[in-house]
Amino acid sequence: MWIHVIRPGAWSLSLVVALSVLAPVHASGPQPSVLILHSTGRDSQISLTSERELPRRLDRGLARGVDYYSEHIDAGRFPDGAYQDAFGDFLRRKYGEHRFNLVVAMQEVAIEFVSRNRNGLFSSTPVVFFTVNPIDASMSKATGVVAPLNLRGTLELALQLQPDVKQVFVISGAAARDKAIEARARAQFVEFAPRLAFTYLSGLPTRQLEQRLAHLPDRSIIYYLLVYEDGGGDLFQPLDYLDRLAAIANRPIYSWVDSTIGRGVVGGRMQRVDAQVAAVANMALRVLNGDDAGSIPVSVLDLHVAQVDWRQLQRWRINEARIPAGTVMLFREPGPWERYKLYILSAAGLVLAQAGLITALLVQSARRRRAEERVRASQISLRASCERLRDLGARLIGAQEAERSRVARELHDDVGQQTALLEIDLELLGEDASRGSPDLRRDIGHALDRTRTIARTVRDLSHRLHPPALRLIGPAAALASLQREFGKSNVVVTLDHQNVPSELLPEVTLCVFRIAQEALRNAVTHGAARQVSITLTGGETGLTLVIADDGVGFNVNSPNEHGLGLTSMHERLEPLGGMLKIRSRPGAGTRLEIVVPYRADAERE
Amino acid sequence: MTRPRVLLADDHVSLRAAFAKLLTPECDVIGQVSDGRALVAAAELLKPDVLVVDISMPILNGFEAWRQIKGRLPGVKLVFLTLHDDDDLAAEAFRAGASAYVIKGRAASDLRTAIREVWQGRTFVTQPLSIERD
Repeated sequence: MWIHVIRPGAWSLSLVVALSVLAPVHASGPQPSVLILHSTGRDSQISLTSERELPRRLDRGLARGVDYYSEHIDAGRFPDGAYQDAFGDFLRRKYGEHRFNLVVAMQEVAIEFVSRNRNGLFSSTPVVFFTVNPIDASMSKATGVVAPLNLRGTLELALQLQPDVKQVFVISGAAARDKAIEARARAQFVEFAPRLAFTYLSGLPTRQLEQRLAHLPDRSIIYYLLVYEDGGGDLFQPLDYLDRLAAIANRPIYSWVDSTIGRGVVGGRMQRVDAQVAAVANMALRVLNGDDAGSIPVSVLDLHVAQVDWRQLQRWRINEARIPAGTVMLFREPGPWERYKLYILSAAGLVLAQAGLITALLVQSARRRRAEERVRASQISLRASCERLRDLGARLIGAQEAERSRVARELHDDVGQQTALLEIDLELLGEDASRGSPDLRRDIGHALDRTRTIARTVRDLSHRLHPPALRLIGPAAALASLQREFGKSNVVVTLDHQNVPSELLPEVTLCVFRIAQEALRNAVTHGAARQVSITLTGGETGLTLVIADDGVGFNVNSPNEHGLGLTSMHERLEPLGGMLKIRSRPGAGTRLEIVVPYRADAERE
Repeated sequence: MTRPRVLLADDHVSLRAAFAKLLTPECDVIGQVSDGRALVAAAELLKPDVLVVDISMPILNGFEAWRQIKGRLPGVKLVFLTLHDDDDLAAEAFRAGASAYVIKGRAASDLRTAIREVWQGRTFVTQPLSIERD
């Protein structure tokens, strides 16, 4: 069939022909043999992708797989016409009588090569071609995919991303195919005038180009077409050359070449090479599965896809919101949130937990401080209460003693004297009545006896309340009376006193006497003592009283043992500035020692 | 035999009067005082032969007053006349230099005897002082 002649300008509206992958034919014939002929060298992007994808897709779509061959004309490096003839001879020798079921011609040079060798090498072999350029040749038994090259799409994308751009620097090389692309670009870019000013940096020596690119004005961009060869005649791999330019350029670079993405360009509308290969593979499968190549219409496809490099957007501070819908964003790096989400959440959780803990600790500490203050306050009030209580105790003892003493004196001085007087009167009356009747004498005698009984009772009561010896003759004699009193039970009480002053404050005497009385009572009643020794010694500043027994003793540290006895001893001693020492162990007797200063004030100073 | 000159000291006026009355047949009661200090003064002034003294008295008690008098009147005899039926007190009284210890209730029978004994250089204690305690 005749291949359509496609005119520039009509491509964008070309129909996209839907292609369906045909089910593999369960052919019983020989394994199909396919030769793919590349215009480019082995290192071109289309070549690399084809060599990877095409055999895989063909294998998958064919029942018996594919017998796959590939050859590279590499016209970029070997543009000479004689070379192509020699290449033809080479192939003829190489493949001899080998018959191919399909030849795939990739791009113009290969298409022309096949076309030229249609009568010899590839006579009657069906052809599937791929081209981005309009085809103006005709071939029988051929079909293919035309994916017209649209260089404007990239500029449209650039203007959407950077609306304020006014100038475009277009870079292309000195090689023939560099110039071919540039010519096409110039034709397509005309419609952007006058909105954009174009500066073509074509075929410059690399050094000079680099200097230009490092000092481009604001509101400009770079459009990289292709550089296979620079103005100095050096040959380059266009992607490697792009790397050099991207390293020094001071403005964003755009490109139309699919494989430039990721090599320093912001992006562009690019033909996806894998989509090109897929379209070619589909076409090849139709032919290999039995369709007549001559009757399959040529597919005209728009394979452009807008692509941007996220890293370059960041580098040039291009707002992501400007990216048009349907754009493929590549190399997007996850933000700190995406990358460290778990860490951030954990850290935040940890910080919150810690803050909570700290708050709880502060609250607790404040509470404890308040509680401590309350405790301290109650301790103070407790201590005050205790002091009051002790003071009260001392005063109680004082009041008790004063009252006892007063009552004792009343009894002695009043009742005692009155009874004594009555006794005397009755006795005198008895003498007067000695010559009277016996009845009278007897009655007077009875009255006298009764009076004496009353006198004795009153005297004993008075003595118990407050021994007169205390006031009149001092502590030693008072202790002697105690000795005698307790000696009546089965206890041996010994008393020893030395250097006891004859003049003592009544309260000192009383204190010594009362404590001795209490200690003796404890020893006999609770301690079951059989021997008690009392020692009273006058020192320079005070009296020392020691009372030791051989009784059962008690545990000094047990609070239960501090009965009222010990407590009242302390209470008696305290106002006088005296002190009390008790040594006792269960089963080992008790030794009580008190020291009472003669004068409380003197002792304190 | 001369009558002893007696100085009487007791703060209980009616008792003191009773004692004076008891003593009058045998002694010259040359003075009566109500407290220890008056006793010391009167003793120095009157220089009695015998002091009949109550132990419990205001200002200075019997013992205290006696300590002051003893040195100044070497020959004076002391009879303690007291309500205190107490051995220790009695013992203390004799240690202090008293010649007799008479319980007031027994004055009617014992006081004149005590004075007589003392006047003749002996001692006297109301009996049975200690027995009564038991």
